[in-house]
Amino acid sequence: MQPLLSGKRVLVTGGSRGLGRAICQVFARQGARVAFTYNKNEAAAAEVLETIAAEGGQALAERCSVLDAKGTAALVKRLEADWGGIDVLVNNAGITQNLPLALLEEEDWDLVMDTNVKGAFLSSRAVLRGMIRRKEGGVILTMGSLAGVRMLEAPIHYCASKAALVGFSYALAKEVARYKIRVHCLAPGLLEGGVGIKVPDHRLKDYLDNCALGRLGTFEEVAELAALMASDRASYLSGEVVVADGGL
Amino acid sequence: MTPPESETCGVTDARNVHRTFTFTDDAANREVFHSFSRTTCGECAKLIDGMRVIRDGQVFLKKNCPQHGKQEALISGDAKWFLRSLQFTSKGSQPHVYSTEVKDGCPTDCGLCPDHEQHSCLPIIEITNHCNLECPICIVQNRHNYEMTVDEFRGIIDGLIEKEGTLDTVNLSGGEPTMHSQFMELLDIANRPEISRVSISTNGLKCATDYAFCEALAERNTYVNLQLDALDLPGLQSLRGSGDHATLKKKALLNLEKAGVRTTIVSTVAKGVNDHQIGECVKLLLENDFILSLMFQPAAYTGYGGRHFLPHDPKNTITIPDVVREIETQTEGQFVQSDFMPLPCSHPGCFGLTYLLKTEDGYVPFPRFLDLDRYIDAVENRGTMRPDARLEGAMRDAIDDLWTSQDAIPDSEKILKTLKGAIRLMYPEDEALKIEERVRRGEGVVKTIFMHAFMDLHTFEVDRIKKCCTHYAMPDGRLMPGCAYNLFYRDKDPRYGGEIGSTEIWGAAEESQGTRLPTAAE
Repeated sequence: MQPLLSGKRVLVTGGSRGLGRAICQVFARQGARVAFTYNKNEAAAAEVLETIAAEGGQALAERCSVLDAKGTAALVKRLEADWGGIDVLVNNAGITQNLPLALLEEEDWDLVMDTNVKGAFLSSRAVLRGMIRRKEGGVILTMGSLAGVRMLEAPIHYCASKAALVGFSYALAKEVARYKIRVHCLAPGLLEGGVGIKVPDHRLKDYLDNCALGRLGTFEEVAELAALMASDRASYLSGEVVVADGGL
Repeated sequence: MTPPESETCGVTDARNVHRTFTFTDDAANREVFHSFSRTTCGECAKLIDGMRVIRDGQVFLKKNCPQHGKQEALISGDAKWFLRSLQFTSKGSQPHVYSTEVKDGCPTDCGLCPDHEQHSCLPIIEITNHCNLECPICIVQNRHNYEMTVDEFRGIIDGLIEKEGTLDTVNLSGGEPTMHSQFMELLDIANRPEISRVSISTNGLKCATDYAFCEALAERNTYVNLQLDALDLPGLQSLRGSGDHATLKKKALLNLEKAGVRTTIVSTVAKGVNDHQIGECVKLLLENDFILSLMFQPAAYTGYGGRHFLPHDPKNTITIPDVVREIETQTEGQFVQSDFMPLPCSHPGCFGLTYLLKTEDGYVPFPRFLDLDRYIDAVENRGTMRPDARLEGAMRDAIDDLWTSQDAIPDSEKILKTLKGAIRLMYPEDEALKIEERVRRGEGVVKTIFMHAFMDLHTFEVDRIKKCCTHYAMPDGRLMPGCAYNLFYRDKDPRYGGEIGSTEIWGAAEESQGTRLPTAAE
């Protein structure tokens, strides 16, 4: 059977660590050409490139904040020139801060909302310009969170940003459907090494007690699901929020 | 006629009966019966009945031994503190396994028996009874003839984990524990995932003279409880025997700081000897980041100290509220009595404490911004703060209170800023931390002042020992409540039987042979 993403040209934001790294590696393993951005950690980005190369995949990395609109647009333009287009954008870059309402200051709110929501908007806008022009379809896959779709004990700015991405994905799916561009939101629950590392231990226990599978997810598991959603095998899936939480 | 002023304290006991105590001016001026107690004769250690009375604003324990007659001992230097402290009694937590049965009643069934009302917050393992100091105030009786085997030690650690599941702290003591010939091996055995921290109680001589030893402690994340009664005091030899203790402690502190060893200062306070140095010890705590906590231990007159620190008057000693009063006076009101409270997990007569939050402008005691009920809940059944559900709940309440009452609570903005910084430190955005690492990071912004009052034969009370959470862990599996062991079991412990051995006593050697400590430059 042909790999899921054979021949696909993919841009992943925030690909040097955690879930983004797993997405890059799984997508490359599934036959995609992968470009990813990273914000600070050059060494981690180099590791991802090495891993993908060792597995026979193709990838390139570019240091670029998702809040850098010009930089993002320039990267997209260059990729389109080199590759002839981008088929899949994965809006993965995001941050959180484990702060209660009383300690949340305006700059904290702005930083999280900007990175998580505005960043997805800027990257999507840059990529959609070419996707729409080429009229070959495409996929915008945005990483949400269980915290954006369920009532959880989690920082409100983070939850608000992830909920915003749900609305963003719904509206965008409708707007670009006429160009055969599918838009999804994938909302993971707690993952080993993910935002769960900031969750106090007693809340982790609470999560595990209520999770049908009784364990945290892994980056790999979510990345495999993301690959399926980005592939042509999910061709009738659009405007969907898929929750991968082990059964809560 | 104007009625006397009164102060009322309420307490709900284990049977859920609410009782109220009223402290009146009248009670301050004459002797008032408070309650019955089961105690010991100060001479022969026989268990006898006693009663607590309030007189002159203090609380005394009165008793009458058939053989040695009437006796009296001070058990609280502040009757109001004593009455208030009764509100803090909380139900204890039970160990998973008991080692003895109830047979003849407390304190003769120790080990723990099912009648004991608290688990082990702090197990102490005495790994040797050799000591290179001969302190006149020492509460144990070192016979210099015992060293615990590695197998015995491993068995104790296994047993503690079986009984408790997980432990906040295990303490290695002695004697002088650093004299054990396989000391580092024992530390490595105690470094188990079920044990959050391993501490040692030391006189500091090894730390002062062997910097590599301090580095080895730091590598193992070992906490050091350094015995230090005062920094510079000519009369210190009356507590610690011969030798230049001031230089010893300063060098030990230098080495511990340089090596990055997290340190607790343990100060034994004897009335009229070093109680005027309490403020200096607090200053030492506040001025040094590597010193996490300060423990004041009002002197108990038992063991070696019972015979060598004489004469002393049991009616004129220093107690926990006296230490608190001295802290208030000697810090010129930086910390006040209301900043301190008894530790609910033990008997309120045994422990007092406060936590201090480090802000950019100094230290703020937790009770000034944390609701007291939630605060009690947070420290119940242990002496250390851990970032668990109860502490999170208490802290979130505190944060909301501070935020919504910023004009009413002094320093609220600074406290909030500190708490925000602490949260970011303990829950970083890109790093997975174990709970122990979170605790360690939290230690950078929180310091603790403890007071731990040991009992001697004059002050021993059965209801206090039943709530004891400081236990000696024995090779035979028993956990002996500290004061019960020191008063009734230590002299019969077969480990310490036989001929008394010998150890070179540091201070004596210094005087007779010119032994000296290296200077800081060395």
